[in-house]
Amino acid sequence: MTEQRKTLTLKVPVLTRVEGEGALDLRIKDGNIEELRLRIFEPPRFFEKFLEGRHYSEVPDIVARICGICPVAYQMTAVQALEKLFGVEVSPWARDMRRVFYCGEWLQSHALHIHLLAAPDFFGCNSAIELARIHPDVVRRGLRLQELGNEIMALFGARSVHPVGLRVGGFHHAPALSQVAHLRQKLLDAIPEAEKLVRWTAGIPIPADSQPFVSVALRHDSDYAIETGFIDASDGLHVDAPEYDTHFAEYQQPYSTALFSAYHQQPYLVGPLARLNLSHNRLPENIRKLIAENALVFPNSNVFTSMAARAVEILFAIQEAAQLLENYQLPDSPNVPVEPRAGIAFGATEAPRGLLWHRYEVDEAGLIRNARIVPPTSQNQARIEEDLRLSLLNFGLNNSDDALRLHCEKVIRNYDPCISCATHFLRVNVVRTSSQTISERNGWGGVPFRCTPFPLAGEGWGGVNAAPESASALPPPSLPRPAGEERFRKIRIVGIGAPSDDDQIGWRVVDILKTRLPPEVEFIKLDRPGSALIPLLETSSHVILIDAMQGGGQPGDIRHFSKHEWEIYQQGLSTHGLGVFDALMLARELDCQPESLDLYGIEIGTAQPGELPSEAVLSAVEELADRIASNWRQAKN
Amino acid sequence: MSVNKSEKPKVAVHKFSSCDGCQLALLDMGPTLLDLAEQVDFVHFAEAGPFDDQARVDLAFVEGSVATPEDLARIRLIRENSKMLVAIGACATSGGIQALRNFANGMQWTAQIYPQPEHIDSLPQSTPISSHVKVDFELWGCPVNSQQVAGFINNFLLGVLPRDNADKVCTECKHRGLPCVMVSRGIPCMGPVTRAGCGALCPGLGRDCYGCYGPAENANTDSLTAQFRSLGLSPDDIARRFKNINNFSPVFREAAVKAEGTHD
Repeated sequence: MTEQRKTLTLKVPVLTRVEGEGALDLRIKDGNIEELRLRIFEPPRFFEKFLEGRHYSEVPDIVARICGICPVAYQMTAVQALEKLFGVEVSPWARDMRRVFYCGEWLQSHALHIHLLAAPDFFGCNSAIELARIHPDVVRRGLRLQELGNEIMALFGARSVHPVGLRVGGFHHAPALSQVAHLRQKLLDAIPEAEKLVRWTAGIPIPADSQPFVSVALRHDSDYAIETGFIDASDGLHVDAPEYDTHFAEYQQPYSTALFSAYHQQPYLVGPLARLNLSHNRLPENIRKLIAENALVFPNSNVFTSMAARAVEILFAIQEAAQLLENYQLPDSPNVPVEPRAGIAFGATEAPRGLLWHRYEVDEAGLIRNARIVPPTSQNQARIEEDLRLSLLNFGLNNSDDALRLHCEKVIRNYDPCISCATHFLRVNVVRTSSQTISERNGWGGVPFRCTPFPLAGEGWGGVNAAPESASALPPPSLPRPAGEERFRKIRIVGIGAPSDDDQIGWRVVDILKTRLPPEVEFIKLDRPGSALIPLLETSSHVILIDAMQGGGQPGDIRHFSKHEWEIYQQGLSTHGLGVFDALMLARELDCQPESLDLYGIEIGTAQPGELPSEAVLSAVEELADRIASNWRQAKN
Repeated sequence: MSVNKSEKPKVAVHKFSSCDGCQLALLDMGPTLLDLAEQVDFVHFAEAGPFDDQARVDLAFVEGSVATPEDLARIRLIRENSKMLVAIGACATSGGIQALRNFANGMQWTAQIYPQPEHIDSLPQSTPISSHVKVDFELWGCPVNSQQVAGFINNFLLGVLPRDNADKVCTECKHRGLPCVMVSRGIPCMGPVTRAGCGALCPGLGRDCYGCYGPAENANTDSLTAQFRSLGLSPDDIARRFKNINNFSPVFREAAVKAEGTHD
């Protein structure tokens, strides 16, 4: 079999949101690409159907769930579409702050993509963790920028994934002046960092791979378009969101669950490079200057420029947000009143990955009748296939399989198809055969069960639907109590502590006892269990609890409370406030106590969280372990 | 769970049907992620790079719901290969928002979205991981946050049982000193029946909790339903509140069905 006659199947298991999990199938025969398919097989999630019958006010919380990486894009597109239909004009404050909010998502998403997903390829690394070993400062800088993007989103939305602050009419809440001032300073501090990032990405060598394609993005009269503008194409198209359907059409390929999209029957590019190709002259002067200094040229027909394009947009997003927050003032109200109106709502914004288009039909009560959402990745899908075809021919099909695989990965990642193609892995099945058929793919469904199952550890943590035979498991509080006498046979030694401070004395005692007592004893270390102690008590015959205490004694004092003694002990028992005490009281009231219950406390004095335990306390740990072990042996005899 | 001291515990992060947002609880940790990578060995975490979906691991995080025939085989294999399996997020713990199709005819929906529905391979229901294999622990939330995941890993490394806070969002409002949005402003809030863990984010912004952390323990949905009615919500309005992010969790599902049955 010659190299020329090989049949190659390349498969990339990709993970993503609505468009999702996918694979690349490539068949090369006689030096030609016979077949190239980007298959997306993320199970359909039917968001458009969930939206039917929902009140307009519920839409932002639902559409956020389409994508964990770019929820703001989905929320913004939806609320703006609905506001336009309802004739709602949000305040200038809300308009500006929404742009800041959106800048946060661009920053977060682009920084994630460059550092965790795309850049490792160019340094021969398989992951950002590997890249961090060679370029620790670069990766740490990237992660800090990503964090800053998350902070912007959390400022307005309380959290960065599925934020909860946006509503039709504005925001639910206006951030305080002090919070904004704090964040703005961080943004200003980050500008030089982002400039360094632009220089760094511009210096990474990329393949010469110019291709003809149409760029499509929102374009604004004066600003760099993010949340508003006309839909423009590099061939001169200039339309408003409602006209999208006249020029763009979705179609299905049998091998993919994501619909493809075509512009006048042709593939097209959306995303950062498409935006810069159309709007580079809308960037502030200093950024244009930086671009020129670093020999970056826009418009650009090499999609490998996308990583640098993202870096440019990171700098822009930081500068833009800092500027919009400069004279921040609290609004009279973060939102304006909304009255729904029946009709059809259209919206389009620039998600980090490109144009996002929504259409909603709404009734007079404000309920959604139907919805259509066209995400950026499905728009890029045909372009990725076309790019791979051209790029592979340009690269040379005679390259080794590994080289072809890596090249395909890089090409796919240029588009950042959600986080998916991010995956640093393209499984290659090389099938060398003269047969015309594509070899059977080793998909998820065909995963053989060839691993011998190893038994679950006997000391398991119970389980949500734990099978009854795992009797040693600790039932979580929600499970019904075990039937019969079984529940009375357990002997448990329980160390209580907390990982955050140095409150781990109870755990230390348990660790020592583990090596000294027979296996029929169950050892458990608990982190501030609260009421979770109760099911554990009620399923045991004998329990020894060990905890740190601050009872006013000398550090290293050991106090012992039998079942009856702790009942009269009122307070100051535990460093965990009343948690353990309350749980024991409750267990008594519920008649959930074991036959015997011993509670040991080691006095830690006035130790503060984070302090290392003193010598006295450490020797008390040893002493207590000795005492429990010797009591055990005596009881046995 | 004993952790082999001689080498770092092996951790896998698997994805099923989801939006990828819960994996961001790890990827959004910032520089902490690199420190975490010093403590554990991520052998499979496709979003971050490492790919070995069949690796045997000490700890597997599973995001997403089971939604296709392939998922069924895959989750069983993951269970066999993992000493500890932890479901993270609403999709993995309750079937997620996409479980709304469980109330409808999914096949019809496919036909309404796709011109050629025969090419779409999807199970009739979207179900949580615990419907198929034993799950050792669940972290609820849509999405779970970094504190939940980091806290879990921290406990795991220390060999300590994880904490499970099944209390209500109301307690978090009290801890934060937030005035109750329902009592003081009449906003229909899901906080009284919703599991704590987010830190009362929504009431903190002056809006209603919408239940994204799923049902709390001993959730009194009947009482909340009565409260919603007294605030003027229709049975459909009430049903939609329960039929949201965690619609297929038994507690919310029953509350939704019950509310729908109370049409005058």
